[in-house]
Amino acid sequence: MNAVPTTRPSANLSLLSSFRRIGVLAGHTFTQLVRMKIFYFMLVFCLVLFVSGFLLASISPDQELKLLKDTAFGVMQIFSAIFGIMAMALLLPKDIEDRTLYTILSKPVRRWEYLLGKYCGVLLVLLVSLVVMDAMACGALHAKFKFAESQMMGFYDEQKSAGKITEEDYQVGVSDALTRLREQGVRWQMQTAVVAIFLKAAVATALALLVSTFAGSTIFTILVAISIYVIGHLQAGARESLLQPPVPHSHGIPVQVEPPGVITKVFAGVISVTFPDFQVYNVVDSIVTGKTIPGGALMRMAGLTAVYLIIYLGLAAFVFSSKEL
Amino acid sequence: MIATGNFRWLILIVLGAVSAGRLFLEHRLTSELREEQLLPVKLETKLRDEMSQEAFAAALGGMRSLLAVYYELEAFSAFTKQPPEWHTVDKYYSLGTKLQPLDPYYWEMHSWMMGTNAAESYAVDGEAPKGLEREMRRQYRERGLEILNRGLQFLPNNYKLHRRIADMYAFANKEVNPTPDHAKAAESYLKASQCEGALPFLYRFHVYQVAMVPGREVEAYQKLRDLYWKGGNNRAATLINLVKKFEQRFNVPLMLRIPEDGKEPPTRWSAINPFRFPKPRPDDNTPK
Repeated sequence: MNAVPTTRPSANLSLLSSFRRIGVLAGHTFTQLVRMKIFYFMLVFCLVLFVSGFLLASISPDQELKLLKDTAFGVMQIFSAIFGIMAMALLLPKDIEDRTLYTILSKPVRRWEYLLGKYCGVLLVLLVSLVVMDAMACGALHAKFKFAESQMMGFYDEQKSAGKITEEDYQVGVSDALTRLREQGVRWQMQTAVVAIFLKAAVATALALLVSTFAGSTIFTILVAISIYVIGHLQAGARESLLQPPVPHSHGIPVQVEPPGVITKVFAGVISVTFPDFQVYNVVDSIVTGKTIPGGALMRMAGLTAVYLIIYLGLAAFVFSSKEL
Repeated sequence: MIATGNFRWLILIVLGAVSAGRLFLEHRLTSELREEQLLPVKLETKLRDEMSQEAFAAALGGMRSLLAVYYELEAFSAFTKQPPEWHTVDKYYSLGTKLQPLDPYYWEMHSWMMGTNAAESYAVDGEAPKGLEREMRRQYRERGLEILNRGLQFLPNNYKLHRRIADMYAFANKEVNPTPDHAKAAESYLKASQCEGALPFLYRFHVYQVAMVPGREVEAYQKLRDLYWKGGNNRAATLINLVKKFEQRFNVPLMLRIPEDGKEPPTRWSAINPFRFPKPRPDDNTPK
């Protein structure tokens, strides 16, 4: 097979035309993925929402809301990461198999532009999917909240009118139940959780792209990318053993910590530098339980994501530029 | 031109340097998020022995909330069995609290299941010998309190956990809690009322409990009156009854008493706390 030249003399090298080419490739990738009927996985998401929201038995209305909310956001995290990894693992080998890649690269398109176009296309699909899933989850949660609220008010009104509870018990009961329900209902802060999910999926997708540039098969890319995804959740431990002296565990619970040896430090260093820290995106659970992430922290998270993308997309471009096609 | 000759190596070196430099960015962000209690607490190593390998890997892979939901459903299933399998409920809720220790919901539910439901089930069951029943009730109640106190190590300023402790001390139950500890209940309600986001009636509950502690009647009366004059929802029937009870007990002059239901106060003097103006003498603390 002939090697495709890395650059073409006739290529228009201006930044603007580069963006235009990336945009065209991203649009094409978006269409390609839509034609692959990937949005059908939304049906599975609907099913998950329906089962967790309306079929599972529970003790109280706030428990039902919590169940629905936790499941919806948990599934959004899994779906977005898996989707990003799968799409990236499939697209590159498919383009090679269909010989589309050669057609594209024979035009005045640089290899890194091709990769970035593919990546942006997948991100676009991810974004659309997350927005739709978020809308569905918030819609279901709101509907369930309204239903639970009217049921709860009906219950207390009935108890009060039947003389079973005093005015004070009524006020305390309603205020308590309403607070609990509102805590589990839809809040604007939840949208920051969706942003964190998107950023995490963007990094996982970039990693899958990097792996797919040197991988021999789709299966290999998927397995390696998922392994990196899991290791990424443990990276913080390795990094902390390097940058932070061992201290007892927080929350006043003492833990015996041995200082790491040289080999451990080298190993921890390699893991820390190679893998991203996916743990920083795990603010989702806290946000979903009602905490608010400060705007500055969210900006820093976005900044860190940009650094990850520069590293992994840069490495992907580096590997792909010297790849024999 | 990208990726040719030495330039490629330069790119690689720059990317390596950026990759090493980002560690400090990660470290700073992690510390900031930990301070805000936004990041999950590190998983306990012994948790590996309590859950399956797949579940542990999933927990490490960032699916802790989903796993906690799964364990809660398992616990609920054990709870709805006849008779309920309390040890299974305890086991699964323990896993839930270990996976999501910063979520007060799991601590509350776990404590409620063990300290209230399990304890009361031994009160109504009636099949076991009386002595054993009593011991089981005591143990489950203690377990409920222990769970809440452990939860407070993670969430010291959570009003729900303080409130649950207060409820457990306050409410009398012939079988489960025959001797309520009103002093401890008052203390926990006070802590709960001082936490962020606390519901307004929690301070009132604190005052109700103080009113039931022998020797703290004057303090209770002063607090009850203060609440009464704050108005709004504080003028609940229980509060008014308690104030009137203390007014009679302390022989408060009529013009300093709170008005009868639906009537305007006879004078603005009635809003003045008789134990503050004039200043009470030490022997005024003794209830008459």
